Amino acid sequence: MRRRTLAELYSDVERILHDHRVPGLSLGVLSDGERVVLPFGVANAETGLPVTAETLFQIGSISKILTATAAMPMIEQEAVHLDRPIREALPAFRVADADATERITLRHLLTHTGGFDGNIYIDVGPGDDALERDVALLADSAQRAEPGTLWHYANGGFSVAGRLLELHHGLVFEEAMRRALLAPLGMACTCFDAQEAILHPVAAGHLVCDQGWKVTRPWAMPRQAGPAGGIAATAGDLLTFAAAQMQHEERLRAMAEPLVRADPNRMWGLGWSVRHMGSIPTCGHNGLTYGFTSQLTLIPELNAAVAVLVNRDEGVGAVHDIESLVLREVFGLEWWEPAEIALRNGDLSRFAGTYREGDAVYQVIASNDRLRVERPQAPSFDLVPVEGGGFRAAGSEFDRKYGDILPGPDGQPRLLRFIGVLAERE
Amino acid sequence: MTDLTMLDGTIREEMARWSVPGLTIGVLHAGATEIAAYGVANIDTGFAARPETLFQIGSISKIFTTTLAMTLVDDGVLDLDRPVIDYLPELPLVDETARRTITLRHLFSHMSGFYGDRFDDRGRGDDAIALAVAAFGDLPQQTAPGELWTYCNAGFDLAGRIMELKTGTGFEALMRERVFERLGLDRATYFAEEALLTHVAVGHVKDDEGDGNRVARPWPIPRRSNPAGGISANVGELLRFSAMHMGDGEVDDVRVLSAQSAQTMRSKQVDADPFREWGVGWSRRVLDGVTLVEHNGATNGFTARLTTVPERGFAIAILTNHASGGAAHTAISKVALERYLGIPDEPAPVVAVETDRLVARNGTYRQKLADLTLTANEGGYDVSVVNHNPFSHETSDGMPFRLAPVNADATIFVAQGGPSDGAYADFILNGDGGVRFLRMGGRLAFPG
Repeated sequence: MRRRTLAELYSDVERILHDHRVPGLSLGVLSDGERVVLPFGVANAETGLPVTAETLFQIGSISKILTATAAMPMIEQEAVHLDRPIREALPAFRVADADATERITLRHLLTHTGGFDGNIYIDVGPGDDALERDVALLADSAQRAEPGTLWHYANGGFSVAGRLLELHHGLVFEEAMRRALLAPLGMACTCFDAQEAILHPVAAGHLVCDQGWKVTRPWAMPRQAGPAGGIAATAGDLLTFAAAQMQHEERLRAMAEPLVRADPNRMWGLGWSVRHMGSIPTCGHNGLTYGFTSQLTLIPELNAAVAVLVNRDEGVGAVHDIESLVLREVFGLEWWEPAEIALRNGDLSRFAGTYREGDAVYQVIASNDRLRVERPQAPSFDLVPVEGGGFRAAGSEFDRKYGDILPGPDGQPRLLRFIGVLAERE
Repeated sequence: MTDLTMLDGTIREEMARWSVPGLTIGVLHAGATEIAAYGVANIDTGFAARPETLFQIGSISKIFTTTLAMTLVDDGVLDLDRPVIDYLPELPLVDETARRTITLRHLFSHMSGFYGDRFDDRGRGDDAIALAVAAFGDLPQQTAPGELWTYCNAGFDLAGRIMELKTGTGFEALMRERVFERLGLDRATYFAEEALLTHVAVGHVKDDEGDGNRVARPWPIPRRSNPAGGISANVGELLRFSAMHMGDGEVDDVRVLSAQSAQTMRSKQVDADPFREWGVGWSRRVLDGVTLVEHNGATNGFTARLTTVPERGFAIAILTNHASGGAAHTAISKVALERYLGIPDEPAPVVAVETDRLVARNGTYRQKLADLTLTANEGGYDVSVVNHNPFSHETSDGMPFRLAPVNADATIFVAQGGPSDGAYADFILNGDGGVRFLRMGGRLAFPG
């Protein structure tokens, strides 16, 4: 049900880019079997070279979807089992908790329910053993909950998936991905490092500061980050990927079935983040790297997809606004988001307290109809209660993000959870 | 009035003749710098080459490596004439005499005698050069140290490793600290992660399937070869570097080298191959009594040249993004030397030799980068070439050319036609007068 064409939205998109101070955008839309990629702005503020339809952007955690999809044949052929302990397929797998080590499954890893802190980054170098060494870092991952009981975003689970691909194919991760996914689908531009990217038009990442844009240096994609966040792609390649997944209905259904509630606004499947537009389900993922922000969303019922790739750091607002514009104007769809609900101060005061994670401290105070969160050396933000029992943040780097304050075994509020945050109340 | 526009016609002609997609040229003359850019940086993107576009400069990087070493000589950290095993006792070289006697001076003047076209990939880690040097035990010792000039890339990798050991700093970081930053060369880099953040060219080779070119893959040379050839730079930065050398180590009140070190680098150390001499790092030619101090470069799909004429305060840098661009920059440089300085750059005259005298040396001469098959004909040799690209590991037929004798003994030849037009080759003989090697492009090709 197309309302306006993509080309008619040009000046609206430009306005959003201007308002959000985005140097460049590659916007891809798949609809009625037609693929359109519209480039905007500059790939690099220093050179002034324009974004083209072939420009590569770092896609960050959208990489997780590519990795998970590449792993599906192994699962479908039962070379590895979703619900068996991952140690059976990868004996080297270990987290700090001995019991969890024996119980964590591939399904836990792909749905971020392993319950461990999986975001350790220690540089393991560019060697062919990078992924093997990255997986070994998980041995120090603290266990925050029983496996399968808590959604807690963990990059490390996808390093494991990437390592499984290496062992299964007998190839380094990048070659395994080319064989399993990129070559068969014809994703010709997608690549994993600067040495390959330099042969293509490529966007630089940018920070926004008072003086304007600052190119992020160097253009880094650590090798160990490949499966969880280290891929560069064009909007066109992502649409190619999306089209292929929507062709493969049975697999997509299996991967995008919502399995666990991640926050008030989304469920999670095998890799895919699952949300709704009205009654229409979508699956997608975002990507955030140093200097880049991106989003890929599929609407299987409409055989449609939208890819938004921008080259500014912390560009979630811009990406959200551009995507929403396209979904509304081209498809007549609006994101479903949970509505604000009114809670009385009495209901909110139970959440108040000091929540800690390592050195990070979150002072939560009940304040009229919302919670206020103060941090010693970072901006404060509000938590607005929404239907479904969680919150939407307002202000700071958490602005518009959804999170929860989850109860402990005694039913009292215990865990403040956002992506990247899992703080416990004292 | 001499200026770069004089060369415009020649540049366009040569680019068309050799199918060069993009080229930048810089001239330093009478205290002024002129730079021009032609064509495209990448035939797939179509982005224009700009004056500031980075190209891979290949072995021109050796002058930077040598310069870096000389800054350490100036600081008393290195000595050109100490045996290198003093700096690296575990140096694995197969010939014990060579192992114990080779010096940095040998390495920088290509007189060490060990085989040097080793480009095996040792990964992208900080230990790449160390890993490469640890494998030098299987490099053949082709001649004794000091015996015969033979181009040796691996010698520079070894020098790079020695510098890492003596300073405790990685090679590229050391170069950045002591040379790039000191000179204000903000864009010169060894790394794709940095190069792709600015205007940068990709290399091109002939497309075997069609008439045109294709982008050369992979883009980078292995990290272990950075000391021998790993820099990407633009002509402006090469001219600033040249000005420093011609200023005896100093430019704009910034000193990088002592005057003595700058002079040592360009002073004649040895007779190299025919009509060339070598300094410490720098290549030398004397044309019409004037000394050219220069170096060429070639990587996968890039060819480059830097020529300085210190006694005239003149320098020219030409960077191209095609494997056959060497013929183009050679021709452009000739015109430039003639027009700017009045120096003719003509090859040595051909000498008449009876074909019968040449037949005995017919045959195929092989070295790692190329096989040359010589067939005596009309007082010279017809030569067919099979090239072996050490970076892409592809084999391709090169353009055939002629070798015409320039001495009565028919041991020294000039190439006619093909990308090496004007270059020299010579037969290095055994005691019994048989051919030990055919030396061309500094490489020793074995008969049979």
